[in-house]
Amino acid sequence: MSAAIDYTYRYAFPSSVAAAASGRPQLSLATCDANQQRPHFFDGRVRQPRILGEMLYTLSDVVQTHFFLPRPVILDPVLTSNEELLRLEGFSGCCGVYARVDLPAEAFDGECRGRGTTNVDFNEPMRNALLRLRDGEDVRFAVGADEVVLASGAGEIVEKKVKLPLRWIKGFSEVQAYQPRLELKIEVDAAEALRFVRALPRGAVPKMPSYAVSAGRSIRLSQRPQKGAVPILGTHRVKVIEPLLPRARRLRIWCDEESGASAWEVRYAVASFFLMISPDVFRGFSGEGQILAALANPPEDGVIAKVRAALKWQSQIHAEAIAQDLGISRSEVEAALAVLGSRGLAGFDAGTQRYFHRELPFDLERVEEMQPRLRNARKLVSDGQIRRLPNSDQNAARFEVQGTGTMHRVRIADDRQSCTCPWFSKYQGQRGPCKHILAASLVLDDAEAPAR
Amino acid sequence: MTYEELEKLVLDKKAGGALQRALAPLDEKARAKLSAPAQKLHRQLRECKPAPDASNRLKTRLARGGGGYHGKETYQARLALFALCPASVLKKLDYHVWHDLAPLFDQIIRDRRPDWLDDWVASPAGAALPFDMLRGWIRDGVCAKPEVDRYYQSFAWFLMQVLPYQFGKAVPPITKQLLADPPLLADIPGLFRTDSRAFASTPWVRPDGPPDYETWSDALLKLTADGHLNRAELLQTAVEGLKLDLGSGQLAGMHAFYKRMAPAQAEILLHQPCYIDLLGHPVGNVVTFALEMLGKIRNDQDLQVDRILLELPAALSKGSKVHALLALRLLKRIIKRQMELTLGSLTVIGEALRHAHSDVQSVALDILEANSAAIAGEDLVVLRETEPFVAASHRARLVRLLSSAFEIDGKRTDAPPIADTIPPEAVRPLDYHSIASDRIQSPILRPEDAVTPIESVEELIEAALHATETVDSPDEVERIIDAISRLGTSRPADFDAAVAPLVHRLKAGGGTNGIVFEPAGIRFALSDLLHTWLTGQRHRTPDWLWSYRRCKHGFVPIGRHLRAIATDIQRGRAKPLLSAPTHRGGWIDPVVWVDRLIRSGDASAVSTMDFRLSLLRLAPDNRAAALERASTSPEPLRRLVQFALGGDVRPAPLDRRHHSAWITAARCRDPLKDWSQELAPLKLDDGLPDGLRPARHFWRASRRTEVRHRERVELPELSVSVRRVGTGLPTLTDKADSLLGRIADAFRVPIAPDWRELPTAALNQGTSEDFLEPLELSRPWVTQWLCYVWPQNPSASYMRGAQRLAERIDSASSTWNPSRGYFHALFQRGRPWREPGHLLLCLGLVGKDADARGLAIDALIEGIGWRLFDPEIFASTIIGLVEGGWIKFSRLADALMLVIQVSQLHALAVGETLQQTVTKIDLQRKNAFRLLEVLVEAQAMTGKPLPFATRQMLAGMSGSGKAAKVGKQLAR
Repeated sequence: MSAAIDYTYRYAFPSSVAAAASGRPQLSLATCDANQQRPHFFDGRVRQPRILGEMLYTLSDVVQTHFFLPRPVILDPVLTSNEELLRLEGFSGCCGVYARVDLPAEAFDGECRGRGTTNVDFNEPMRNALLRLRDGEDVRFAVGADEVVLASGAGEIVEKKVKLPLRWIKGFSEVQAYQPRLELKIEVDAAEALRFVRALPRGAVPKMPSYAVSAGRSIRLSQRPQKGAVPILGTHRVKVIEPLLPRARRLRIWCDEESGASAWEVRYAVASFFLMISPDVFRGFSGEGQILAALANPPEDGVIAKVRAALKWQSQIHAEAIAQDLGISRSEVEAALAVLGSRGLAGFDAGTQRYFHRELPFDLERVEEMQPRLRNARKLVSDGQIRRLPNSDQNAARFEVQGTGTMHRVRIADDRQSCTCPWFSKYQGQRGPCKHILAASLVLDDAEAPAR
Repeated sequence: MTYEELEKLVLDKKAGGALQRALAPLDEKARAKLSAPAQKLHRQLRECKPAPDASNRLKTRLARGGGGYHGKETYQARLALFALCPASVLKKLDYHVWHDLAPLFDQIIRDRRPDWLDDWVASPAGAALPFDMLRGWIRDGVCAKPEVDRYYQSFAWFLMQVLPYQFGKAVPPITKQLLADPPLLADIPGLFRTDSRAFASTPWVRPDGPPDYETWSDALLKLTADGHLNRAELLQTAVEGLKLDLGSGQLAGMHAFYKRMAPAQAEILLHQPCYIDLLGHPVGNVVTFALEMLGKIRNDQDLQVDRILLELPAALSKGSKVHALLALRLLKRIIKRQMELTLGSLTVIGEALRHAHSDVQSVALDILEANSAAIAGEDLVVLRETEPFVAASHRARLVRLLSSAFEIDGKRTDAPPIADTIPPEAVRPLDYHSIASDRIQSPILRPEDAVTPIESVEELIEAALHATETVDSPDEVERIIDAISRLGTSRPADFDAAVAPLVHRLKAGGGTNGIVFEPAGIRFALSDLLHTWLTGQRHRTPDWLWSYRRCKHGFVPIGRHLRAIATDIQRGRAKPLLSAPTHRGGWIDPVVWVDRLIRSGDASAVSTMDFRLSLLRLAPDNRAAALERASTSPEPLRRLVQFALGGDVRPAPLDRRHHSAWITAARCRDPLKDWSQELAPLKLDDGLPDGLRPARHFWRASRRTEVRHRERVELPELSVSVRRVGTGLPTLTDKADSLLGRIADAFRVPIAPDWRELPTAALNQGTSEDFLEPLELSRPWVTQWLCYVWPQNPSASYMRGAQRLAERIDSASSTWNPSRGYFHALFQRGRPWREPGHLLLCLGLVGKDADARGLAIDALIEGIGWRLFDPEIFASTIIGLVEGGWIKFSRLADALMLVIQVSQLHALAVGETLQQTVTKIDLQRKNAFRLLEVLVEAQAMTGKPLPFATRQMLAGMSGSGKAAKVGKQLAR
């Protein structure tokens, strides 16, 4: 059992779809943030209730599912509010699937009452009721409740005590590191997308990666890698979006070629559902080490602090503008945002290619401690188990690092890093740098520090 | 009681009751005093490890083998813990006692009546407590009834007495047990609220059970009939229980029980709201139940229409055809009652038109057609949005229907017109022609497939490290072999330190898809080569080990080639290989090849395996240019090279000592030709398929019977044999190099070529052997590598793959029995598949192996695009496999349905195949109608009419089955 922290969701009332006093259905989401406060973020009317219901239902599917073990998980989604957008994010119990529902202001008639991030209660009765929402209905929608309602004590307090696995928190934070690298590969209309998703194997699944490939205006599954193909391992994870497609407009498929992670964006007229899956069913986002290089050589603390101070729950962060305001370079702002993203303090929207501000409502102090590879690299350095080799060529630095039962060779060049350890030999950097390369980077960084 | 007395009683295996009697009078204070020593005693006994201050009695007992996890003393110490310890100790200690100690445990608890007992029986630690003991405690007020799911599971299973029954004990009927303890009747509703497994299917209980054996359903029916249970309450409990998140088996058992209660019409009406709630249930069988029960409401007026219409889309969206058809049946009744098509009904129909199954869409269209007069103009928008989701075969109906609705309504909307069934380009007739099976000279080399050779030792080490962990493709293996041959003698100053991690990993075995993992067959040779390069010492796996772990015959020449390289490296002779591929897939550009020959200037290469392997890899491209350059190559190579590249040269009698090279050159020149006339001067006694004469593979699908676990099972079988074209006789020859052979040569006695020296013939060796694939082929890159031996003619590899797929036809993808490597050659443009390729393709499509199936679908799609797919050969392959009686039509149809959706050309090619197939197979076989369904869609996409004879045959189909129905639809 992996390390976990005890966490209690404490909501003022259970989220529900119930008849309001007016007799109209009311979808109420209960809130609870990291400080056990219950913010009131939104009140209004939903323009397309059925689509909203299906998206929230699918989001709850993701957060309730462990995609490779029959293990129950009860980890609630996170909602971020500002005047432009309500954004719900969820992360599967296996740490390999991330889902996000983007609801722009046009999806509602209503009023944003606050900015911030909160957990929202998802429970079984509400989940079942979500599928009964119909487009013709006048459905009220509220995120949180005002103090008057809460003080009336009409609702029952809902407490959910869960063990939040550290890898879950780490993965939820780190999944953002993949998104800036996503490239749009395929875009098809919803009917073609539905045909494709329906045809994905259910029972007997391939052992090798499958690929989504363009076929004219359509899309099909292939077992062969080819240019522009999007790899999928664990097709059942993509099937999650099947219920959304009959009423959607288009499906956009994104891919990070370096890691093999892919994202599936179901687009409606005024909303979207974004599903991101890890490169393999058994590989959660937490163990991939995509941000290790950034964490090993982060921008200065002062820069990170300044950028963090500039975050004001924006739904799109303009790095250029922040750079101008703070008098630092854009690349420094982006590097700082990457680090902040890894700490759960910013997300990335591949569609707009911009970060957005949100703070995961958990204790994130330990996120950086959760990087065993970086920890081990630092240990190699502090134990003196790394040695820079003489006669290195001009374009690369070479190191000898103690491995298990042998000495590994590390080569750090501007364009490429390599190591002779099994991890690097197998993945060739696809799953982040190994601890030996990280240790060499730390040593090299220290050596070059005075020069900077 | 002192500790010594306690220890003495615990260690006395016969103490039993005495221990219980001694503990009974202790008050809680006295018990607390003994708690810690008792725990220590228990720990020492369990771990068989006396503490330093342990008594001599205890030490002696442990020294003599007493104690241990299952020692009787340990169990008695455990009983003492329950008698003496507080809740903090016992909360993690579960019920775990010897059967004969159970009464003592019972009495010890009754004597103590601890205040923690209620919590303990409700906790996971109390899970294993026998139900009768717990029931006794509850009855006698020793503890309260635990309100946990496990209590009801225990209750259910104890009364079912499945385990005693299995052990041959008498099982009293459940009714008798319940009536003997009437308060238990109150626990019955709990069976429906929890995953009690009371209603889970246990068909294995009944057949040999006692005549009066009762299941829970039997018992509840009887108790209700006899008035011991309230029928109305029981029915309500059962239907309410179905709303819960319970296991699928439990839910199925619950609604089966509900049906056995045969609810009356009034009861059905009473429960109608529950049925409606169940329409959105996540478990399919519950949705089916709900739809069936709603269907039993006799009077249409009693249906709660608004609520049903609100929930029906949820039932349809689950994707099950059964649900969808039941839902539409219900909808028909609703429409009949409403006498109009309301928006609610249209929403349901819209959902049905988006359904994955064409039959559902068809029924939805039936409903629309029957009510077309009632469709309001503004509602068209709801249906118009479904158009892209409707199957091609139904699109015309939808277009007609909506058009007629327009006319009736007399309105026009601004909505864009619906696309016609067949796009305009389909109106012009399409034709599909495959390329000829013997057209094998098409160019194949593409610049993007060029292989970049390894240039430095450092690069070689890195490539070998990666291959030790995982092999991406045989191209990587070929690059490494080539680099070792060229750079293997170069040893920089820090070579040993640089390769130390590689040597370390090789010793550990590397990754599971690595080049040397679990060495077997050809991987022994690769391992030997790597070790020889790394250490400078000759490594050679003993022949006995090589033979033990079967070396697939096709790899024998490659093995000899690798050993020759290793020998050269050990002797300090590095050289470029002739057989190193220049392009992916094992191909060599003939111009580059001739340049290599000229550069090497080594005429003795003619007798090497490297030379023969290189001949077989020559691409059809650039042969004329290479032939021109070949004039400067050294003798005796020159004539041979010119012959191989298509020159006018022919062998002379003196060339017979290089007969293997001449035969291989002939196969290089034309793999499918009979070369016996041209090579007659060599005076060979050759009986090998793909020697002088080409090979032809024969196959037959059948079933064999095996007895497994005393039952006869029929297993699929694919018998394969290979013969020389023209003789009709098996022609396998196995003759080693021998002195006799050389003497015979001297006297010009005909020589019989050795298959081990002829890579083309080696590939056909062992084809008809009936044995499991050796460990050698347990990695996909190895099976793919087999095609690299003779990329011009991968037929032998196809047949090997077909045999493997047939063996595993109903097995899922396997890591250790991969099939996907065999498909590689199907993706080479311009290489006709011929019959072996089509056989492999077909077996891939009908198998359960998702990797192979996915690749087969890819190959079919690309093969149609490149015209490699031949409908006639494929149809005859299907027909041949159908004779075996084991192919699954549904798998084939599902795959073909995916293929036809790619383009009209694909629909046309598949349609032509099916037209030829359906007239020659028995369409009444299980799921054979699925092929007709594919044909329907293909016809709808292409608009090409069926041949008259096919239509006539389909129109004449008899019976009321699905095949006849779809057949008649096609004939129309």
